[in-house]
Amino acid sequence: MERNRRNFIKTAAAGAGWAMLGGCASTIQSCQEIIERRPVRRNIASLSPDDPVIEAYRAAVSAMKALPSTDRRNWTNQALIHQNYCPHENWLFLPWHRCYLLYFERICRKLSGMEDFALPYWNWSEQPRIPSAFFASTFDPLFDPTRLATPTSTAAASAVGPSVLAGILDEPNFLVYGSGPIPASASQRRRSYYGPLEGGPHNYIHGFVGGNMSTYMSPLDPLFWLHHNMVERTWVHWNLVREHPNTEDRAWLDREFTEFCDEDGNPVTISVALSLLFPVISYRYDDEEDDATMGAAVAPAAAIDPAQAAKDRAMWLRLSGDTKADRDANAARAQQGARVDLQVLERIATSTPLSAALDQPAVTRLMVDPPLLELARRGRDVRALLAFEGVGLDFTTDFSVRVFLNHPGAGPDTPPSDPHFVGTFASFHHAHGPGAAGVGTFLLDVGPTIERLGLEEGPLEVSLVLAPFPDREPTERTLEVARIELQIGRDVIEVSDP
Amino acid sequence: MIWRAALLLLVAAPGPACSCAAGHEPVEPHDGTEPQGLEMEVELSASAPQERLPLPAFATAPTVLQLAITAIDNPKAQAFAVSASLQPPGGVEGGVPIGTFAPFPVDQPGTFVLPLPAPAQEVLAGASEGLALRLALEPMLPERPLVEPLRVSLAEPTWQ
Repeated sequence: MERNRRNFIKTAAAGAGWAMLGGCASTIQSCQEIIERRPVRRNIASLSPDDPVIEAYRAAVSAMKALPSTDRRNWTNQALIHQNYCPHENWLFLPWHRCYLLYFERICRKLSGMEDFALPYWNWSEQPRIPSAFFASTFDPLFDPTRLATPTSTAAASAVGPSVLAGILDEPNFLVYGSGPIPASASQRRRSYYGPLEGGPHNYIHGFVGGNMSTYMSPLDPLFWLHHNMVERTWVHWNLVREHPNTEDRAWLDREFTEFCDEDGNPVTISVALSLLFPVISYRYDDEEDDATMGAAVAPAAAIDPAQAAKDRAMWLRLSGDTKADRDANAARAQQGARVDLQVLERIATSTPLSAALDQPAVTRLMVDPPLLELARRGRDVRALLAFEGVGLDFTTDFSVRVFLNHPGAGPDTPPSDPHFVGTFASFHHAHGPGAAGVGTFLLDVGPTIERLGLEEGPLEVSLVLAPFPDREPTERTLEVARIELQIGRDVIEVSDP
Repeated sequence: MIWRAALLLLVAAPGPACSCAAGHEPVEPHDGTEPQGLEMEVELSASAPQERLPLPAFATAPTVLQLAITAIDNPKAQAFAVSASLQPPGGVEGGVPIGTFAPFPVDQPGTFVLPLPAPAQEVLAGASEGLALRLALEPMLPERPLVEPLRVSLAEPTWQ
C-alpha cells in the first residue's frame, strides 16, 4: 500500500516536474535531485543591500526594461499581462499570480545569468516598511517614482500585522481563504468575492505603496513581485505547514492560463492543477517549516546540527516526535529531503468490490474496535486514512467522488459542509483512446471526521457518492472500487544520505 | 517531505474535512452575481468616515461577515482601507476588531468576506444587545489624511 501511494505521488510529481523543468532530466532520479535543490526564495530583510540576489534582480529588471517592445519579456509587456489578464476577487487569484511569478522568476534567472536566482519576498507583516533596496536612489532600477509611501511609511499592524496574518492562516476553507469561485465557463476576470488574504493584506499593500502599485499596471513597480511573493509564501504556508487543502473543484483545477511566456519569450500554457506542484518542485521558501513568523510556535529549521543529522542517517524516525524538539528536528530533516513514509500500525479492509452509480451511492462497513478508534482520535501523532484501491480512472471527465462517514442517507445533494463529509477524490487522468484508462489508488484523511463526529465505536460506514461536475452531462455512470482499507498509522521519515 | 507535500496538494480533502476547522463552518460559495442586502446602503466619506450600524438578531452566532463596496468615488486615488469592528453601546473607538480590507485598484468596488476572529465570535455568541458594527474609512498612510472628495458606498452587511 505504501508503495502504491508513493508511486502515485511520484508519478504525478515526476510527470509534472518533467513538464515544469522543461525535460531537464533523463531520469526520474535526476529530476528528484533537481527538485531537492530547487531555488530558495528568501526574505529580503535577511539580505544585505549588495547581496547577489538583489544585484541579480537589479540586473534582470534593467535587462527587461532594455528589451524591445516586440519581446514578451519586456518590462512593460510583463506589466501588461497583469493589466489585461489578472483575475481578482475570485479563486483564480492565487494560482494565476503563482504562475505569473514563476515565469517572471525564470526570466530574471535567464537575463541576470544567476542560475539559482529566486525572487526574494517582502514580509510586510514583520517588516512593514518598504525594503530600503527599493529606495537606493532615484536612478536605481528598483526605484519607482510614482510611489506614495516613503522609506519611513509603515503599514498598519491592524491590517497586515502578524496577528492578522495568523488569523487568515487559521481559516481552513479554501473557498474563503482563496477568494470566491467562478464557473468554469466564466471569464477568468469574473468577480465573485474577496477572501481575507486578497481583500486584506494583498489589497492593502497595493494601496499603501501607491502610485503604479495601486493600479493594474502595478508590476511596473519592481516591488510588486516581492509583494506577491509574500502572498505566494502565505499560500504555500497555508498548504504545507497549516495543512489546509485546496479545493478539488475541476472548474478550478482545469483552468488554463495562456498569457505567460517562458524565459525565452515563448508563450506557455499552464493549468491550475499543474501549478499546485510549483512549491514542491520549482522553489521553496527559506522558512517553509517555520511557523514563528506566521503566528504559531515552531522552532526554525536552522537549529538542526548537520553532524547530528548525519549521525542519525538511515534511522527511521517518527515525523511528529515525542517532544517539540523531536518534531522540529524531524520536520527539518524531511524538509532537507528525507523520504517520508506512512508506517501503518493497523489495517482494516473490505472483502468485496464496491460499485456506485450516479443515482445509487455505494455503502460499505468497516468493523473497527473501539481502542483503534480511540487511537485514530489521538491527534497529530496518529493518522487514520481511507485508501480506495483499484478505482477505475476513466470516470474523470464526468464526476468526482464524495466520501461520507456514518451517513447512510448521503446523496448527491449532501453538501461538503456536512459534518460527515470526509473528502472528495477525482483523477487528473483523461482517457484518450484505447488503453488509456486504468486503475488508481486514492487516500483520504478520515481522522478529522472521526474526531469531529466523536466516534467511539464501530462499525465505520463509508458512503461513496458520485457528484457530477457542474454543467456536464455525464457519460460514465458507474464507479468500481476494488477494495477500501482503513489504515491507522503514523508518518515516519528516513534520513537520507546528504 | 516532497511526496508528503504533494500528497497534501493533490489528494487532500477540501476544507470541511480539515482538522483545523474548529470555529468556522465553510461558507456556501456563491458566484457573486447576486448582490446581497442592497436595501440599506451605508455611505462613508472623508468628512464622515465612520458609521455605526445596529446588529440584526442572530438565530445562531455568525462566523463570517460579508461586506460589499458598491461604489467608490475616489478621483484623487487616495489610499484608504475600511476597518470593521464590534462596538459596545456608546463606544466611539476601539471595540473588538473584525478586520480591515481595501479595494484594489483604489476605485474598484468588490465584495469582501471576513471570517470573524474568535474574540468577535465570542462577543456575538453572548448577549449582543446594544452592540453595533462600526465601519470606518482609514488612511493607509498616516501622513496623507483622507480628504474630500472621497465617497465609499457599502451594501447592508451580511452575517453568515
